[in-house]
Amino acid sequence: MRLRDIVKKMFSGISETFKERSAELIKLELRELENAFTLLVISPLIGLPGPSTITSLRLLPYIERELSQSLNVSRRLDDMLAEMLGYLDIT
Amino acid sequence: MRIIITVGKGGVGKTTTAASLGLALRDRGYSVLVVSLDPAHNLGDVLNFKSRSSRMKILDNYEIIEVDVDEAVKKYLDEVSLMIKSTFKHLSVLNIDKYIDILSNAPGVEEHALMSEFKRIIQENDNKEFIIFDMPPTGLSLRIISLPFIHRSWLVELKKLRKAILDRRRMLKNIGEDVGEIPVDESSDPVMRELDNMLKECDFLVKKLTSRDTVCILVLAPETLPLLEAERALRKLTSLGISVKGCVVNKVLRLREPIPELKSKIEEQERCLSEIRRTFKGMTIVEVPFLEQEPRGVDALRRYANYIDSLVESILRS
Repeated sequence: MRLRDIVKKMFSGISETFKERSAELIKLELRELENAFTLLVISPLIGLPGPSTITSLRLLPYIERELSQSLNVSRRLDDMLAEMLGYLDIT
Repeated sequence: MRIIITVGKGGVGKTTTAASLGLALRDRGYSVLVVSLDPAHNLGDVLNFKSRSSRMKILDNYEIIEVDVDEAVKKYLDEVSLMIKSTFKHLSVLNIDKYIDILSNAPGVEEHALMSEFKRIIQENDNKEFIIFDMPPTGLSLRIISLPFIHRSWLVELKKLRKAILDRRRMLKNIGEDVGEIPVDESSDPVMRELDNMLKECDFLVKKLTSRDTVCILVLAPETLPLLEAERALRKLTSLGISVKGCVVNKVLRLREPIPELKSKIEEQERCLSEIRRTFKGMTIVEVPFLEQEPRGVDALRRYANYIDSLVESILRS
């Protein structure tokens, strides 16, 4: 009985760790996808080739959160490699 | 409703061709609207029509519209500005919303505004049997025509990326992560809604332009540069899937007694004519002679229409 509890706890712990790791990786992927989306949308406004200015202007009002997140990321660009490696648990 | 688009280098006779093509169709009993999208339009001048309103009735079943490009740009930007200002309402409190008006200088706005007019005219005149668009010179025409196609491919890619974002958000929500108030599915995402709206607008135009009911007519003079432009236009239009029905070779010099000073001109013309027959093989090619007087007014345009009769018949047959 005790052994079964121990095994159950062990598997539950492993599953919880996997879930946390997966969630972290999905969050990282999501953040980068949102950054890529924001960059593509605002590209005509910052001098990069991209969709038309009009497309940017029509989408801009709805991406306020992503835009502010991208600006935060761009402030930490120097540390981005360290941050990515940290996320991937590479030391 | 069928759409005819005249494309060609500046000064080759696109407006004259569009106006007389319209008259020929009208005289065959069809209701026709001829629209000039050329910023330097002279459709009214070609028809000797003095009135300066944007829409003019010339004859029964024959109307023309001269689109005021500046006005179209202004109208288009007003709509966009209104949309932006309504979202960023707080700017008006500080009276800084006026700075949004600087958008009128944004690159590519003229093409967007003209394409928007193109769409509006098609939607508002679906009772007409023929709408003939007299386009600006080739470069601008091709930019306007290809706009919905380019725009569409961007929107499709942006939609794919947005979908991937929403998928990740949903995954996080499903495993019990707190994602806050952000939208997780397509129906509640305003970005996706706006992308869908824009895609719908593009699809309408792409469908219209590639429809069997839409044909392009290339207008050119038998000279090297207009021919090269016409070839480029043909390649571009064909690659977009737009049907090019025929070409009008305007201002062909036919002299009973060749003048020595014009010898090399005639030689160039003959070289171009054989190149035109080779390049546009399989299409209806009509030649219009260099006329003593510029065709102006309904009667002169009807005479001009006699030269392009086989083109009119071929459009009606297709």
